Amino acid sequence: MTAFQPMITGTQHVVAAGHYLATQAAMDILEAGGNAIDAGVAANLALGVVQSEMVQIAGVAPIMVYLADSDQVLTLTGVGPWPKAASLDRFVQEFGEVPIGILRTVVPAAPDANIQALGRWGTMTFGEVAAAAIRYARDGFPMHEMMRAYIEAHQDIYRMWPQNAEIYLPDDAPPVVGKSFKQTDLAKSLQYMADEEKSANGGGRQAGLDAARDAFYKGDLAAAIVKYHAENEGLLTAEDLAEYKSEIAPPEKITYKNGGDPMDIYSCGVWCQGPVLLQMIKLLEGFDLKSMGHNSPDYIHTLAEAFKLSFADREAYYGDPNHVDVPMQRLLSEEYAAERRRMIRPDEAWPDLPPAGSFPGITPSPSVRTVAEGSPPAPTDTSYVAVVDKNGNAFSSNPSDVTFESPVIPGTGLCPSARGSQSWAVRGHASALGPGKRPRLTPNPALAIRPGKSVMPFGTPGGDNQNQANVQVLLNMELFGMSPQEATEAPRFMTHSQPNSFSPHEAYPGKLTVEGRVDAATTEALSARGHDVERLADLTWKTAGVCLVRKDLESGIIDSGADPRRPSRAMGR
Amino acid sequence: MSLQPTIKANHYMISAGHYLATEAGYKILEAGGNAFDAGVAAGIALGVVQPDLVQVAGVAPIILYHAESGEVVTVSGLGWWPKAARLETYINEHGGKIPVGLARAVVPAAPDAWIRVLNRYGTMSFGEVAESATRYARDGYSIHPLLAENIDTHQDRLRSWPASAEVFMPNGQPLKTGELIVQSDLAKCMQYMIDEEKAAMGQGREAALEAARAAFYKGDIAKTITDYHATNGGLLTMEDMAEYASAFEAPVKRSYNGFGDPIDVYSCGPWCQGPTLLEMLSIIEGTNFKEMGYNSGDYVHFLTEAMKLAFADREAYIGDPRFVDVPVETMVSAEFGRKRRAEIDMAKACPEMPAAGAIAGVGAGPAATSAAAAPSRMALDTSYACVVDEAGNVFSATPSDGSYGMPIVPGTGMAPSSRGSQNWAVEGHPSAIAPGKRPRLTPSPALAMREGKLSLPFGTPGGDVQAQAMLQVFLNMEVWGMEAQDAIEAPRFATYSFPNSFEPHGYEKNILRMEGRMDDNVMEDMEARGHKVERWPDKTWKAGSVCAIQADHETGIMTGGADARRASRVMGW
Repeated sequence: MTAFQPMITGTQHVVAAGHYLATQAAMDILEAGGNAIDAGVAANLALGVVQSEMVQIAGVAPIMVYLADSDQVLTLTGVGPWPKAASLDRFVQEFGEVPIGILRTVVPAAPDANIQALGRWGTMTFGEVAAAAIRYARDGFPMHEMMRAYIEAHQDIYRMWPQNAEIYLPDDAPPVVGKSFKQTDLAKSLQYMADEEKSANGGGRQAGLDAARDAFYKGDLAAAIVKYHAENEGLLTAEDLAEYKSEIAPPEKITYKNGGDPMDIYSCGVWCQGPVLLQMIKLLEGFDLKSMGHNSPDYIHTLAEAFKLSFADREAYYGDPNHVDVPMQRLLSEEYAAERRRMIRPDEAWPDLPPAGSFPGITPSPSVRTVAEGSPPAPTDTSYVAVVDKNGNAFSSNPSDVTFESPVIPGTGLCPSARGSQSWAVRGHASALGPGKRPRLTPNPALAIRPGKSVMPFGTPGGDNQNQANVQVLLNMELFGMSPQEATEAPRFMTHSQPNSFSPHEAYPGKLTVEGRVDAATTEALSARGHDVERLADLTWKTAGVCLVRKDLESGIIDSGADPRRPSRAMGR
Repeated sequence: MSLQPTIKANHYMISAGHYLATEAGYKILEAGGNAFDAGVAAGIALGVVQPDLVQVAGVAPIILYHAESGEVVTVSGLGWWPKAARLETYINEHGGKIPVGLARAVVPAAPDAWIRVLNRYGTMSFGEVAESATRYARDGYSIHPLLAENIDTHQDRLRSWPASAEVFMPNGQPLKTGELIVQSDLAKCMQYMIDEEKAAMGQGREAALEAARAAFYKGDIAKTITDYHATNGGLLTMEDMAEYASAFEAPVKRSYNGFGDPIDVYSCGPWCQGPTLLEMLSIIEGTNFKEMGYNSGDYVHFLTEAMKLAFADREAYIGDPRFVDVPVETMVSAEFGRKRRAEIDMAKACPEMPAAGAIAGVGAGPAATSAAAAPSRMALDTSYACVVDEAGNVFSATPSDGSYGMPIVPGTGMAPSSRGSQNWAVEGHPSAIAPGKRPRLTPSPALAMREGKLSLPFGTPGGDVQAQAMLQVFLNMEVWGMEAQDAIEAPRFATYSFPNSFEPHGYEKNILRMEGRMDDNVMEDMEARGHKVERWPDKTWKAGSVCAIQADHETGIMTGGADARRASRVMGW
């Protein structure tokens, strides 16, 4: 198979990001001497402008880094908690769900996560790494098709708030592809943070970064957010904002042994869906997938069933580990994987989500879901950034949060984290909402490392499709010898049996969507096993958009993949 | 869905044959440079990042639109044969061949062309625009697959030239994809030009640019090159170098009325094959393509036959217009086109190259069959770059000259223009060798403009495939309404039924090559009409690698395309 796009390789540094202008922002930083963290934060911020329908500057930004000097993998939990005033009882009684609107706001975590990352591991100032984002916001960027399509699909919700509509429906209609799209207020907000930093720079880089951070969490931006919430029945307070700080957390890890030398695969902790990636891989490790053949009926069936089994556990047990006891060690154990593997029936698909595993002493979430029919919609979405620099540091992050579920704060261009959509208004659910509790975040950056041999940050947007895509791309490289670019391009499939992570948590039991490049005989064979198969276009953003960068530590060569399904791009030298 | 993100822009855009050249030019645009500054930056960078196909000391034909004066101007960045060159020597001593190596050297024209354009139309210094290229040479970059393939293919030749081997096989083996290639000598030469410019800065920009130029043509670089020629039987002298100057010339223009709204198509003069594209347009003008259907049997056959007719006339009439009377106005006229069109038999392929069209008062060159019968195994290739800036300036250039037909001159990192390969050691041929005469250059940038509405620079590498690929992409945009990226990605075909422009001018009678994505039925149809069809892979770099920008002046939106068949990339903002 030949890649559609030239694969970008480098010997110095390479970045792959969800939008080419974010890639450019990061590349400029790398060429100017910045490290992977400087460049990654620059791309994260740029994505909050050029994909602001699905990535918010005031949104979430889970970050994973590999620090070459200390040989450490760390994560920054860039996801905010529910306001202190949030009450599960109220949501259960009044709404029975987490409604669209201001009430699904959690504390915006991305500004803190990005600035913390810069301060801890970066070398540059906020103003330097935010320069591209500010320019794209202030002077505009050319509207792109995916963003236009998302705005069009959600235009009714944008119209719920005049300040959202003013930005995203500039002439009372979805923007025209190619036209310059400006976000003046957003530019001012970012510039204000950069200005505050500048005036504090005399105290050193860290003092400047603190000032930029405080401008958001304690300064004028916090004031504007809090005032709007107070006036519009929102829950966020000055205290919620001032107290926020992303945690440095250890990653979860498994060692994958089917692809040659053992490979450590790292996910974020269970404050997001990250570990489900590891569960999926663990399950699949017990099958001879290579002999089945790439995208053969056996292969697709086995992966789809493994995905469903893993999602069943996600639904039953995953929740903010500061609030819920999650049996993570057991979920990732060999014994458990072996037990679950037996539930995969070679000739018959589970017609629905299979039952979750059981763990003594832990009560699974009650089964609550809305069963939907027809075609699953494109997920409420996100973006992704991977960077490796010349010293071998790696950055992996999924900045996210949409602007079509909650109000923009007038005058700021910011739409504070609507991520409460990934909590449940259900008593006893592991991810039931609660004061100070974090949603079960879909965005989950990952890393794969062969110690002394290779380092590979990888990830994707796509909501519940994220880890399904991550697994497929990883196996494409590990088992089928594809280059990273080929691996991101190869046809994909997605199961939709699980309750969607996004409220209203709809499930499509048995549904399996498959890209059109998979041949009809294969999809017929899958239908015969009971999958409710829906064929998609040949190449569609409904099957996620994976980016990755891989450094071979022995040859020094860095290669990469950027998914042509979205405006993603890789660049490097 | 296109295979690369569709890049749009509102301010400026660049598309070039290698992503690092795009990066170099884009950087200049971001820094406030105009289209000419950026185009020159990209052009010079191509000589570093595609040193197999483009030489810093090679050719650089340019066509540009200067918005302020409203003029379309061409720059004949094409050197002539040394004064000491004699046709008889090649006929008598080289057996009618133009041997590989110094014997095919013409005066290197690109440095002069770049600097002249900078001087007359640009705003920046040579040092500024050559900064990225110099850095790529000095610090190196990661080898892309086509470069690795070319080094591998030509390794025996390269090994025979120590300075060439040192660059492309530093450890005795061909460098491979992903590996670092460093060109220290080349970096030093470019730095020397930059330093000479800097030293003359006090005398103003113009004098400083002249100093950079003189460093090449009269200084140490000229001396090293001509000394090497003197000791190795070459013909280039200091006088040849010192006297070289590219001319600013009016373009050849053809207003094309085929698609409703007339469009002016400009090419360089008959010192290159540019007018051949315009003749193709003359031949097909007035055809109802919609009736034929896109890439249908009729469509492919008709275009193939039209291209063969134009190549027959190229062979018969085109040569350096300072030496040969080229009836170029007639060749691109509607009347001549109609006559030629009438010669097309829709049922049957002309089994060989058709006879040249008779033009009163002009004698045609010797018949095609006198050319070497063996297919040319090693056509050199080239690259391309185009830029449009905010002021509406347009730059379109096809820098070229490979490094496997000419040794790198020790100490310079340069393989000075081997373009003599595009002459004939044949008495009476319009492109026969003569002292001071220029080769019949394949690289031929183009520009189409609909006044006040559209600027469309386009071009491609590919030797004799260039005009064919450009015609198909142009029709994809203008007849079939495709955006540049889709127009470029669409499957292509090419005829080889004429003497190759490159020595030994192999002639592959009746051969039609088609990309594998073309319909099987159409391939069979072509066979049935008598073409000898060879199936290419789905996508091959041999089908050219077109870059184009559609700058719509009514909407202010630029739409770019870059060919995924090679390492090309478009970038804009």
